[in-house]
Amino acid sequence: MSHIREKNREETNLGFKWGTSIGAGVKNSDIMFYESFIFKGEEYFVYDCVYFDLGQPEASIGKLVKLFEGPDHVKKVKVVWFMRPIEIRNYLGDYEPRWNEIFLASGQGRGVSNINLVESIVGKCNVVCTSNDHRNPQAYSEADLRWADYFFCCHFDVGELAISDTFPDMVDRVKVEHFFNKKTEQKLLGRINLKSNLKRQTQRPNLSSKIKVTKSHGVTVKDDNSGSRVSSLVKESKVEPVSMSKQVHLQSENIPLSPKTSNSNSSTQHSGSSQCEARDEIDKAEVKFPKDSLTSPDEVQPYKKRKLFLDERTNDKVHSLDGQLGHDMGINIDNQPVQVSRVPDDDRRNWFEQQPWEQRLERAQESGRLVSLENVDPSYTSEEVEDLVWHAFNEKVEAKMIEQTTFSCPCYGKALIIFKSKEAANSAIFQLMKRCLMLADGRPLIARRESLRKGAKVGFVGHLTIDKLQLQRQTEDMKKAKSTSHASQPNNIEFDMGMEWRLLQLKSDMWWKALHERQAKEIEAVRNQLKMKWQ
Amino acid sequence: MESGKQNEYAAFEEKVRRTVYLDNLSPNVTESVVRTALDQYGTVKNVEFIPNYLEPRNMPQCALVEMEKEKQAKVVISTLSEFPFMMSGMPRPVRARAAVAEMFGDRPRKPGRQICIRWLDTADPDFEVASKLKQLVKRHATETAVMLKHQLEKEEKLAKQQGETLKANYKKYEMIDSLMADGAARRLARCYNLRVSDDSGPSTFH
Repeated sequence: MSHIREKNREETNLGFKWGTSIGAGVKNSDIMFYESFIFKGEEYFVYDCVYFDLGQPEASIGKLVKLFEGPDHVKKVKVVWFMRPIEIRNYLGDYEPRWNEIFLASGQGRGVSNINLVESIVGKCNVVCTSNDHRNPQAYSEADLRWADYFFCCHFDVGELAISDTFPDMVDRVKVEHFFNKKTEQKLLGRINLKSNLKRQTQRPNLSSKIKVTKSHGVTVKDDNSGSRVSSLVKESKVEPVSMSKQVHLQSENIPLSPKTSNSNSSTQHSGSSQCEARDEIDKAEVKFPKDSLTSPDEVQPYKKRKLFLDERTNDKVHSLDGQLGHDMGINIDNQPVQVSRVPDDDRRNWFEQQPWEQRLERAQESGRLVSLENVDPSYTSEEVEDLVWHAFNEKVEAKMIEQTTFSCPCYGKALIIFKSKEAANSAIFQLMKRCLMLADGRPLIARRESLRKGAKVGFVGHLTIDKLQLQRQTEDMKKAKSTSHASQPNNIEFDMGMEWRLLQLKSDMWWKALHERQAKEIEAVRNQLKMKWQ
Repeated sequence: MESGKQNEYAAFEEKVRRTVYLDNLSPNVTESVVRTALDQYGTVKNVEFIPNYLEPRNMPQCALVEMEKEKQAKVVISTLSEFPFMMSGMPRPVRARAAVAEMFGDRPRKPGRQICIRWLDTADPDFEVASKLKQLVKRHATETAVMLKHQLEKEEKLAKQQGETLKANYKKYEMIDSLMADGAARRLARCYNLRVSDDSGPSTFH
């Protein structure tokens, strides 16, 4: 009975589940080591970089080097840390780190690594290694770098309290190669039933960055297709906005990337097959996270199988056609300003019968998924807002910009967002509260739970009737006069009253204008305090 | 393609120029009413009401009316500004303005526009400023809400006031009317040897 209980406990424990095990501990056979695990809907693999919440104001970033569970059923991970510049600011000397740069902890001493509970993992992180070390496959591209959450090119030795860009052979008894970018393709591709035929033509398998090449001694995936393979896929994927999925993989693209942006079916087919081959060669020891595996043929099924990677959604929606406004860059969770590219969205919309907007709004509100996003640039369109939210939170939503009316301040825009789930809505609101998501022109976005104003339409003020008349004889003319729209002539009381209203309207225009001007000025004043350059 | 988008956007902009934004519309006003009303100024191509989700329920409606030509739109706007135009009721006039792109909920994207976003964490130097901005925005939102309420109150006041005036006027009319009708005026006139003409002007206010 107990084992059943344990199982239940595990399963209900935030959806945690171990993946395949790689054996028991050498020293202590009670400890089981694993290759991967699923936690809170994401699958984490050994050598993934993840975010940890350890009570610090900023999440800590670390690389999982061991995943294990002891006899007490407490799930632990051994983590080698990456230091943020702010943590080692005293030892940086003249070195000026970039915004999203971090440092690998190395050396002997406290702070290099430690053991943490799985529960402190918050999410994945995408870290690229840009070091020129010969062991590091320099196979990443500009785009990868931009998409990555962080990058590192130096390590910080905790013993010597100094940074250096020459890497030692081992970091905390783990081969340094594991910290560098990965070379070969993800082995896990094999786990999934990849249908190698990418049906959707236009779908460019995005994936790209996540292509991992296992380092089977430098034998990258067959060069024959190299081109096609992933590279083209990769390139294609460039188009894809980066998966926010905070995955941390040291991603890489092969250097011999022949930028074939042409996304032809054949090339993808190639890649499909090449991947299969690659998979075979893959070094078993390496465990890769097949992110949105390329192959993933744009179908939804494989994704579903893969459980819930948020990015999966993007896979099937590949940006097609004109789309790419050329520079599609992903979003950086970090502070690098990132362009928001268009998110392919055709599928969802076209698949389901959309209920009328009002109904959707109401249902969303009932289930707590309705959020209003404020301080948006008023010239954004609903689609842009959807893309923005996708990039920022990796959530597909429906958005509608609220139209500007006579009294909306011209410097503010507002949008109504319908999230897929209450949790998504909550998390987005929470994130926006804690951190700031700034738009290019220095506007922080604010999100709020929104509730539609209910209530029947109360009467409209300003239309007067004489009750008596209505009961009495209403001649045809009288009726017509009321119902036809007309401009009243200045020979009756109606005109005078109309003019009074006119006057009030003008007055109100003026006071709205004054308010908006004042508000705009206040905003400007504060915005000028922003130190960073915003457009 | 890019040019396709450009064209789309150009077409949209043109539509915006041809569109008139009406507000202060009574909730009884329907599309056909608007259409017939503005038909005298030109061909009305499309009428769309702007739904009101978030504001208090007793706000007047707004609509976007697309005319066939830009000139027609201009005529509408100028006429409505000159004379108070009544629709489905009096005397609150309908207000017309030139439409702007932001009023259209389903507008297409502007081609070539790029949006940049970035996250700030507490460690960022601008985080404080950003937080201040956020608070400012919230404050402005409340200010707007208050202003709106204020405006609605004023409108109500005016309406009530006018209602009173109207009633008073009407009473006077009625009185005169009834006097004429039941012959009291004529009798009095005979008394005073005055002539009284028998035309009771139609009451123009219905």
